[in-house]
Formats: sequence, C-alpha cells, structure tokens
Amino acid sequence: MEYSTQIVQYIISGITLGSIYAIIGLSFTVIYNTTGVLNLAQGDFTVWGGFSLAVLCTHLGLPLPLGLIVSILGVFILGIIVEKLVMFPLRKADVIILIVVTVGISTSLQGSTLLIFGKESKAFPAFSGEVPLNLFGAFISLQVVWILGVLCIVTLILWYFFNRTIYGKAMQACSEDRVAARAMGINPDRMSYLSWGIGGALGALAGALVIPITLMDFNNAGLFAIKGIAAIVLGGLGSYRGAALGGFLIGLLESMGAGFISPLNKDIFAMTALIGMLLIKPSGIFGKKNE
Amino acid sequence: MNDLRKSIAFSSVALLLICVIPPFLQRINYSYLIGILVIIAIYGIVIMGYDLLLGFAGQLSFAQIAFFGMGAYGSALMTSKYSFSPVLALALALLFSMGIAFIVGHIIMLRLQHIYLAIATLAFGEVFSRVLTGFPSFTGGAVGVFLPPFSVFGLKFDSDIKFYYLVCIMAFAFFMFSTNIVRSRWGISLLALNSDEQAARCMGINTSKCKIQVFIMSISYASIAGSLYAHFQKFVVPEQFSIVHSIELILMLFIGGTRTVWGGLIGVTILQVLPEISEWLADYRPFVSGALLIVILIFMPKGIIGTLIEFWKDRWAKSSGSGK
Repeated sequence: MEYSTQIVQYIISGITLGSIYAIIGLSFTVIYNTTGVLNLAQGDFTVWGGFSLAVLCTHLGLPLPLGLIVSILGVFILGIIVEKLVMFPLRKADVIILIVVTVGISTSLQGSTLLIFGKESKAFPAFSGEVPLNLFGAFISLQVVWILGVLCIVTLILWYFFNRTIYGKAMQACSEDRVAARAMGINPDRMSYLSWGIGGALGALAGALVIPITLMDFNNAGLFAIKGIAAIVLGGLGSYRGAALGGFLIGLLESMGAGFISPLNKDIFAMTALIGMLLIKPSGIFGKKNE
Repeated sequence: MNDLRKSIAFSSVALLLICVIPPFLQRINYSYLIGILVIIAIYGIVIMGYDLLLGFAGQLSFAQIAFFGMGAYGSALMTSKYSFSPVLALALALLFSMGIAFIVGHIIMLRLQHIYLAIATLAFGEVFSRVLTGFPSFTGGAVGVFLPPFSVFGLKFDSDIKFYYLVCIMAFAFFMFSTNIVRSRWGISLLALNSDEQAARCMGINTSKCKIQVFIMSISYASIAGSLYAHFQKFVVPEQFSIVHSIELILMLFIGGTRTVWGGLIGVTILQVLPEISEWLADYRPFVSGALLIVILIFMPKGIIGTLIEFWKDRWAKSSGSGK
C-alpha cells in the first residue's frame, strides 16, 4: 500500500473511533452537566447497548431498526432506574462518595451483563452489508458512513434539544445553578432523571454503532469509559463542543499512534494526552474558567 | 497506661489467633483456605494503606494498584533477571515506588483535586498496566515473569503455611503501625485536611507536605504488599494489576468502611470469601459486590465496621450511664 493511502486509512479509522468516543463523551457530559457526577459506569451503558442489540437482532430475530430502538430505549430506562435507586438517595453526598458509588454501579452492571448475556464476546454484522467503499484507494466500511451520519444527527438533535426545547433549557438551567432553577419552577430532580436517561441512551447508541466494527466483550466497559473520559477532559469537562472535539482527537491520536509507532501501545498515547492536558490546562480546550 | 495495656492484650490475642489458625485448618482438612488467608492478608496491607490516603486524607486515587504492581514487578524482575536476593529486591522495589510516588505526588496530587485527581490517577494506572503489556522485551509482556520463593537470610518461605506466617506478621505490624499513626498528631492533621483544606492550612498544617507524605506512605504499603504477592503467586502478569483490580480495592475499602483501619480487613475478607462459599456465588460475585457497595454507601456510609463501632459505642455510652 502506498504511503498516502495508508495515511488516509489511518485518518478514516481515527475518525470512526473518534466519532464513537465523541458520542460516549457527550453521554458523560449530559450527566455531568446536570448532576455534577462523573459517571464511571458510562462504559457499561455502552456495552449494554451493543450486547442488547446483538441479542435482540441475532437471537430474537428482530429487524435492525426495531432492535436499535428497543436497545436504546432499554438503556434509557436503565439509566433512569439507576438514578432513581442509587443516585437520588445520595444526591447530597460528598464528591468522593459520588465517584465511588458509580464504581459500584459499574461493577454491578458489569456483573449483570455477565449473568444476562454470558461470558462470550459478541459480534454483529454491519448495518448495510460488508462491501467496503473505495475512496482514493483506501477502503471504507459502510459502517463508518453510518457512524458519521449518526454522530451528525445526534449533534443536531442535542443542539436543538438544549437550545430550543423547554426541557433542554431547563436542564441547562440546572447545570448553571440548581437553586435558581428551582426558584424558576424547574424540578432539578426530574431533570437529573432525564439526564441519566439521555446519558444512558447516548452510551447505548455508541455501543450499538461500534459493535459491528469491533468484537465486543463484557469487560470492554472500562476501556470505553476511559476513552470517553479522555475525550471530555481533552475538550473540557462540561462542554459539549469539547466532548465532540476531544473524541475526535483521541480517536485520531490512537489510530495514528497505532499505525506509525506501535499498535501494542495505542492506548498509552490517549492516556498520556489526558494526563498532559490535566497538567497543562485542567479545564481543557473549551473548558470553563472557574474549575 | 490503660491504652497500653489494652493494646498489649489485643496484640497477644491477635498473634495467638494468627498462630492457631493454620494447624486448626489442617486438622479439619481445609488447608486450601490458608492460601486464601494469605491473599486476604496481602490485600489487607494494601487496603490499610489505601485507607490512610482515601479514608483519612480524603484523596481519591485510582493509582494504588499501579504501585502494588510496581512492587510486584520490581521484585519479579530483580529476582528472576538479575538474581537479587528477595529482601533486597523488595527494598529496591519499595524505594523505586516511593520515588515515583514522590514525583507523581508533586505533579498530580498537589495540582489536582476531586474529580480531576480521580481522572489523572485513573489514567496513570491505565498507562502503567499498558506499559506492562506494551514492552514485552523488558516486562515479559502478557506472558509475565516467573520468580523464586521468598527467602530471608537462607530461610525459605516456599509453602503456603510458611508464607502465611510471614505475611500475617507483616500485616499485623502494618496494622499496629496504622492504628497508632492515625491517632498521632499527623493522623489528626490528615483528618483536618480531609474535612477542610483551607481550615487545616489556617491551623498551621502544611497541607501540601501532608498530601505528599500520606501518598508516599500509602504507596509503601502497596509496594511491599505487591512484592509479597508476586512471591506468593510465583509469577506476575499484567492482568493482575489492571484497572479492574483498582476497582476491587475501592469495593473492599468502602464495603468494610473507611477511617477505621479495621474496615478494610473486613471488606477484603468478605470479597475474598464470598466466591469460595459456593459456585453459584462465584458467578454472582461482581453483581453482588457492586450492589453491596451501593447499598452500604446509601444505608451505612461508614461501612460495615464503622457502623458497628458506632453502634457499640452508643450501647456502651448508654450502659455506663451519664458519667461517661
């Protein structure tokens, strides 16, 4: 393969991974902005999304669109249940306790994945056939087009939701100032439920999109979560633009690092970038100043 | 004086128990449990150190497992590749971990707080475990490293029972050290740092120094335990020190209870014994341990031991009347 096509190939795979990380990063941000919780169980929502899609469509024979809707809706509800059962009783707890409890959520979700879906890793066919597109000599799986398309749609929907709908604006208000929001007649607790639901659904969407391009394993959750965290820290904790940009940066860094330096050490690059960013500018690229 | 007598009584009972357990287990044909006790004691040491950092000083670090791994890999590489004596290897690994902890403490611990500290240490732990797999020529890669049994001046600890005595004595020493240090002036300044850093600084506590000190101290617990762990398992592989295990540590600490020194030991015991009770429980272990952590955080924020201690203190205060 020529050098230029190789680069194109790396960029494409970087953008693909990056879109997935961007969606996971957005799912972190929705929850973080409304409730102030860094949810370490976010990767488990992703695994749940991928696994439930695989089980619904291959084992139960549901058509793809229905499978997608059911799995995303399922994790949406799962997110709300988690908020209701776990986070709501602890809403006044210390920051450290709030992080630790999401570790507990992650462990128990991972345990339930194991019990419900079994130990085997799962694969799923690409949404529209396996024949790749040929672009400038580089091969692009059609799944990549799907992933990019969905990312664009998700970004548009989120933008519309947070800027043009009453619920979205209410959630924004909660992230600015919960007490003031309450004074305006917004119920911040209800907004927390909604944010966990949306966070779960976005996580699940990322899982459903990524399962056709990588084999998914039940203990991948930690990896997804860490990449999502890297994305939001790089872009700036609490910023939606930042989460999307950070996702792409992490994805590109990973595929370039794997391609040009060492495939075995691809995760080190992202982690080093994360630590470096925290040391140079903890608020990230688009972060707010006050942190 | 009363305190001294109490602690002497406690130590003799504890040491007696430590000595009596293995023959008893052998008697009733449960000698395989000795291996589990060794693991409990080793993790117990790590957790006691973790409690100082997270429970007392309130600094959430996910990097603990990396330093456990540093101790383990340090011992493994030095004894197998360069045939150092195990004690020397342990000491050098400890020094190395403390050096890294000093650097990490200064560049991460002092600059970042709360969520940011958690993220940075999480990333550090992840980088460490990736380095273990990523540089096979040095660390043995996914295959790992094999190492000889632990020995001190010709005395070999090559069976489970011998190792049990070694580790239990170590754990006991660490326990006594921890219980005493948390009651010292320094231990109290950790609590002050935890509850309000600004206020602590006002009282004349050098909080930066405190953070570095407690970080290095907790890291030495982890590193020594890591060396012992490597010698006990007789081999090290990167999976033993992945991020999953750092989550295990959190589960153990918070299920047992923070700020008690005791709590961690109980948490370790619960999580290690749980899968041994039945096959059925082994499958359910991740789910059960996660759910247990959530339930404990919601209903008894002080953990099992913390809640029990409070309960007994209440009873005791009531029964001894208004005088106390």
